[in-house]
Amino acid sequence: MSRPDTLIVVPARNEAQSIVPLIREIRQAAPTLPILVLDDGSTDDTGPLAQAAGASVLSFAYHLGLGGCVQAAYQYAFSEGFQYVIRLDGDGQHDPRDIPRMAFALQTSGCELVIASRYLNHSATRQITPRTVGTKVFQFILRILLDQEVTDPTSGYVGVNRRALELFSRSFPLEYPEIEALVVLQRRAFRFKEIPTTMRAREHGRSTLTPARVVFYMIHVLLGVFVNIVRIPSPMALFRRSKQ
Amino acid sequence: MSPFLLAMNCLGLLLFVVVFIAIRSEHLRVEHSVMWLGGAILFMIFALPTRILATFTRVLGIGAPETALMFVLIGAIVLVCFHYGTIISKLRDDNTALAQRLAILELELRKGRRNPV
Repeated sequence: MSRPDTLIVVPARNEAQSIVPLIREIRQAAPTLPILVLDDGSTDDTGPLAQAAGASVLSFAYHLGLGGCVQAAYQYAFSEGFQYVIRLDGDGQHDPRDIPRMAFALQTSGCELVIASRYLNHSATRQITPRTVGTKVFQFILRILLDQEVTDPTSGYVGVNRRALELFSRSFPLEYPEIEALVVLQRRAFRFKEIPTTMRAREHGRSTLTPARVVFYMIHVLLGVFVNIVRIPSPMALFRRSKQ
Repeated sequence: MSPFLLAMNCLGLLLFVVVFIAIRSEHLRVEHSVMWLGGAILFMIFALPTRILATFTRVLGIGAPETALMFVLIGAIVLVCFHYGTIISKLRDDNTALAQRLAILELELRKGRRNPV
């Protein structure tokens, strides 16, 4: 029997209450696909529980941050020869029943990145919260930079193909990676598309995004995007390019 | 020499000695001490009763040599802070890469134990 070409990646930190039901749901939605849980320095039993539930676990020695642990998963997937990686959050807000649609979009669209959007087709109500305000700001900026609308730029429910895996396994934003990753892809002339999804309410734990963090997040991401736009290649890189 | 400049000269010398002792006792690596030593030497030169400080004060249009010396001190501290910022950023990147590698190797080891060749 040949090995599946898609890996499901679940970043999780202190999600002991939600990780086992989530793994069960993923198994129901995509029974043949391997699951890799990224235990980002949890202080509870997230890692052992995920392992007992049948998932592989990447356990990090300390809290690496979302970008750092997702990049490790991309490095692992790339070295193991996977063609696609689908990532969904460990808090259970992303519906695993969308995995087959996501995999189909990755395989058939030719896009390097597929984003599950809660706002496409108006599937989520837009209450005015710090997060939705931030999303609006990023939508506006990304529309200018990418010349394409991204309805849910902060979505963590994404799939990537092998070309994006190769790029991201070498270089990936370490903090708040979603928006910077889009800009990085655009600079490489990679394509992306959105598919609609429905985000579920978090059943356990609390979101780490407080209003103060949303402001910090916005400043951090805007700076990251700006740096990516104006990044000047090193003289050595220019020399190598001229020799090619 | 004014008492202020004398005090600043002693401060520069003290900094030099402290950094040197820190290197000798391996509390500070040589490559990370260069900025401190350079700053201390620069500070001592400026605080000496030479024409350098007077010229520097006149060129910058600062009223008093003491103020110019504080300007040099602040500039040196900003440079050292920036230098350490770059070191910390590199260390963080290296540390992240190590933690990623460690996690992947651990997973491969667990898989290898489950399915020995």
